[in-house]
Amino acid sequence: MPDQVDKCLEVRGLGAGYGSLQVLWDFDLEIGAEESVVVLGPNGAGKSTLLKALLGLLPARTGSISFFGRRIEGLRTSQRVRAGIAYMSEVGIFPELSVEENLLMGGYGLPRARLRRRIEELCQLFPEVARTRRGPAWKLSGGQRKMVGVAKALVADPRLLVLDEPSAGLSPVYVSNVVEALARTRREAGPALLVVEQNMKFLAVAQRVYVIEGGRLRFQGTVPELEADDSLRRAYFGLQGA
Amino acid sequence: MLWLFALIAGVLFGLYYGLAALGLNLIFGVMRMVNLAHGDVIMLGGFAAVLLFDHFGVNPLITVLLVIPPSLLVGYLTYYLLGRRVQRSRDPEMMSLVMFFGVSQVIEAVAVIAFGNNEASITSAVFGTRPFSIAGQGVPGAWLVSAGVGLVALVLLFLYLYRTSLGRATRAIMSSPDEARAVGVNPDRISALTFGIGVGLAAIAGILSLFMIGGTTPSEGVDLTVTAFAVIVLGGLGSPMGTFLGGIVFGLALMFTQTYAPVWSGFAPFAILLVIMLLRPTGLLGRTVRSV
Amino acid sequence: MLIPRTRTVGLAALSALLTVGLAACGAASTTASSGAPKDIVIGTLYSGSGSFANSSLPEFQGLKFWISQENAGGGVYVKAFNKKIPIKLVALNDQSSTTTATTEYEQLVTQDNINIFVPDFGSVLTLPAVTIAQEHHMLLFDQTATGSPLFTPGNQYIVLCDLPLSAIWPDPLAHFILAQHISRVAILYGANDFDATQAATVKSVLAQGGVTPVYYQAVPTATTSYGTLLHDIAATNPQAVLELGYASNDIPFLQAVQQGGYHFGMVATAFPGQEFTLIENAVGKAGLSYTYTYGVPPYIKFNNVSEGLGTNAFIAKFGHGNIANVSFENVAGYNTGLIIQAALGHATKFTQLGMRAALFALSGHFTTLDGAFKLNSEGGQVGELLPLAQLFPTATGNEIKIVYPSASADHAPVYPAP
Repeated sequence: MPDQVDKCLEVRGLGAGYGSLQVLWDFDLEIGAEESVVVLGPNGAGKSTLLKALLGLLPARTGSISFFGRRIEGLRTSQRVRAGIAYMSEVGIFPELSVEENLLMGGYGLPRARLRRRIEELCQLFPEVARTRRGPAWKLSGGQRKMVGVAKALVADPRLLVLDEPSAGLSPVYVSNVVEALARTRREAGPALLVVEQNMKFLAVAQRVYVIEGGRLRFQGTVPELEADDSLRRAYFGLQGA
Repeated sequence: MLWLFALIAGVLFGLYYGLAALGLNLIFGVMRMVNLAHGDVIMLGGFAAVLLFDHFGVNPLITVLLVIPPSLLVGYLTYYLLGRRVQRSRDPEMMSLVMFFGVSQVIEAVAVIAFGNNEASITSAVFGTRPFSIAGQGVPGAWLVSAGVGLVALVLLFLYLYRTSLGRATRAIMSSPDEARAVGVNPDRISALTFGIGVGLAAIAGILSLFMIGGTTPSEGVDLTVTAFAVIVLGGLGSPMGTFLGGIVFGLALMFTQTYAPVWSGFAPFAILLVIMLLRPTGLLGRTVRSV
Repeated sequence: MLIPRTRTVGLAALSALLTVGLAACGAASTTASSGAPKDIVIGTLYSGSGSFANSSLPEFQGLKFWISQENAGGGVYVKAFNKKIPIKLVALNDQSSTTTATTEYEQLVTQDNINIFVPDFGSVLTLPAVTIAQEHHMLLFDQTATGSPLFTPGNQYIVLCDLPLSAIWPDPLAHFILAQHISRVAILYGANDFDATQAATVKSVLAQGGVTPVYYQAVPTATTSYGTLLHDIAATNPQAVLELGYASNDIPFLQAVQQGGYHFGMVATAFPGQEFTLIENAVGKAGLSYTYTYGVPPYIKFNNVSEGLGTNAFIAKFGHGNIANVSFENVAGYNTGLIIQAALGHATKFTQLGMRAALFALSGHFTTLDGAFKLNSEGGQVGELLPLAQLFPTATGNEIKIVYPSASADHAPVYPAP
C-alpha cells in the first residue's frame, strides 16, 4: 500500500454506467506515484467504464477521484488531461492523421517548442515510431498503432498513463513488444501506470494487481498474492494456459 | 473544341460546387450532424451580396470578406443554442435532420417575408463582359473570379486544417471524437468554431452562386442542400479533400452532359454519384464506413 | 418594386390564413336546396413560397382584386337567379408543391363545397387539378396552364382563361424570324410541356419557311448554368438564339450571355414581358436591351372591352396609374375573375356544364383587357395571341414595345441588335 503523501490516484466508491445501465459499482483503487498497476478482468467486467469515468469521458455517478490529493471527479476531461493524466483508448490513435500529427495531438495545448522537443525525445525512445513518423497512421499495422499510441500518450509528459487493453487485436508477439515498450517507459521517465487488460503478459509490468468482475472489485494485491489465490489462478492463469 | 471548354468550365464549376459543399461536410465530420439548412445559408449569402450591392454599391468581392464575421458569430451561437443539445441526444444524426429541417423551413419563410419570392441577382457586368482566353477558349470573367475566390477559400481552409493546432484538433475530432477529448481537446469550442466556418463557407458560396447559377431565391435552399449533399457523398463523408474532388467530378459531369446530351444534364451528375456509390460506397476519398 | 411586393406577400399570407380559418369554421355557404345560394364560393390555391410563388402570388392578387370589386358592388351577377350574390373565397397555400396541391384540390372539391374551381398558376400546379375537376364534374377555370396535353377531346371540364395555348405563343415570333430572313436559328428549351410545345411550334413554322435550326436542344427545367450551353450554341454561329424557359431559366441565361460577352443578332426569351421588373433588376439594363420576348398585357393594351376594366382603367385602379405596378400575372388573375363573371352572368342554369355552355356561346364575341376570348373545342384559349415585343433602352431602364406583327406594332424592330 503506497504512502499517503505519495499517492498518485485514489478512487473511492466509484460508480458509473450508461443510461439506465449501471456498469461499475462502488469501486476503490489506489496508485502510488511511479507505481504501476494492472486491472484484470474478463470482457464486460467494467474495465473500460472504469477508465472512462477516471478520464471524465463518462460522468461518475457516485464516489470520489483524487489525483495527487486534488479532487478531479467534477473536472472536464480536458482539465484532467492538463492535470497530468494521459489515456490510450483501445483504438489508441487518430487513423485519419499522420503519425507525426498523432504525436502533436498527444501534446495538444503544450507550447510549441516543448512539444517538438518531447516528440524528438520519444522518437529516440521508440525507434519504430520514428521510422513511420512521416506516414499516415491508418497504414500502420496493429502493433505499430499501439506503439504510436503509447508514444502519443507520453508526449504530454503525464504523471499517470492509463491504457485500455493495449493487447486488444494484437498477435502474441506484438503483445510482447508492447509489454517491452511499457517496461522501457518505466525505466526511462516513469509516470505511474494503470493498465486494464485480459492478457496475463501485462502482469510483467505490474507491481500490484486488481481484479474486477461484474463491475465490482474482486481482488487486490501483488502478483504473487494473485497467483496464490486458487480460484483466481484457475480463472486467469488456467484459462490462458500460460 | 467543345470538349476543352467543357473541361475548363467543369473544373471552374467544380471549385464552386466544392466550396458550396465543404461547410456541410466539415460540420458533418466534426459534429455528426447533417445541416439541412446549409442550402438556405447559401441563399442568405446571395441575398446579402444583392442587398449590399443594390443599396450601397458594395462589390460582391468585398461582401465575401464582410460575411465572414457575422457567419462565425451565427455559427457559434447556433452550435451553443441548438447543435450542442442535438449532439447530446441519443441519436444526433437523426435528431439533426429533424431540427435543421425545421431551421431550413424557418429561414425560407423569413427570407420570403424579408426579400419577397423573387429571384434576385447582380448583373454580371460587375466583373466585366469580356471573356478571358484560357487555352484558346473564351471563359467568362465572372467564372474566373468565382473560381478564384473558391480556390483561395479552399487553400485557406486547408492551411487551417493541416497547419494549425486548432485545425489539427478539428481533424482529430473528425477522426475520433472520444480520442480527441482524451487528449484534452474541448469539443464544444472546436465544434462551435467549425460551425461558424461551415456557415461562412456556405455564405461565400452563396455570393458566388449569383455568378455561377444566375441568381438566388428564397426557395432554392433545398436544391442547393441536395447538390451539396451529393458532392460530399461523392467525395467521401468527413473528407474535406474528397469534397473538393467530388465538386470537380460533379462539375465535369454537368458540363460534359450539357455539351453532348443537354437533356440529361440534370440527371448525369447523380447517375455518376450512384455508380461511384456502387463501386466505392465510402466515396472517392472516404476511407472507412463510420459506425459512430 | 421589391419593397411593395414584399409587403403584399405578407398581406396575402395573412388574408389567406383568415380565409382558411373561415373555411374551417364550417361550410356555411352551401347551395340551398331551393333558390339561390347565400354566396358564390370560389376555391383556389396559391403558392405562398417556393419556386412558383413569384408568379402565383401576383396572379392571386389579381383574382382577389376582382372579388373585392364585385363584392363592393353587392356581389357578382348570377343570371340563373337574376340577382347579385356575394363572393366568398377559400384559398389554400400549396407552397409550390404538386403533392400538397393535389391534396388541397381534393379538399376544395370534396369538403369545402365550392361553386367555382380555380387552380394555381402554371402548368405544373394546374395539372393535378385537371383530373380532379374531371372526376368531380367541376369546371376548371384554368388560369395560365397552357400546355397542350392538358386539353383533351373527352374532357368537358376545363376552360383556359388568361393565355393562349402555349403551342400558339411563338407563332408571331417564328414568323418574325422568317420575315427577317434569318436562316441560322438556335433553340434551347426546357424539358417540360410548356416549353417543349413552344419549341416544337417554332420548329414547324420555321420548317414551312425552309429554315432548319442549327441548334435544337432541351435542357432540364431546373437548369441554372448556361455558360457551357451558350458556348456550344455560339459554336454553331447562329443569327438568332431563342431560349424558351421559365423566369428562373431566363435570368441565368441572360446573365450568361452577358458574362460570356456573346453578341447575337437576335436573342429571345419567354418571360421578360411577363416578369419585366424582376428580370431587369436581376440581369441589369444592358442584359435586356434589344432582346425579344412575348408581348403580354398590360404592354399590349385593350381599352375597348366588353367585360370589366380596360387596360388603362386597370392600370389606374390596380396600379395607381403606374404600369410598373402592374404585372402580367395581376392582369391574368383579374381576367380569371372576368371569365367567371361572364360565365355566371350568362349561364341560364347554375351548373358547371351550364357555365361551360355560356362561355362557349360567348367565345369569339367577347373582349377583355387580356384580348379576344376565343375557345377551341377542347376549351383551349386561341384568342389572346401574344405579339412579339422587343426591349429598348431608355435613360432609366428598358421599355417594352410591340414590334411584330406590324398590325399591332407600336415600334419598328431593331435587327440585328446593335
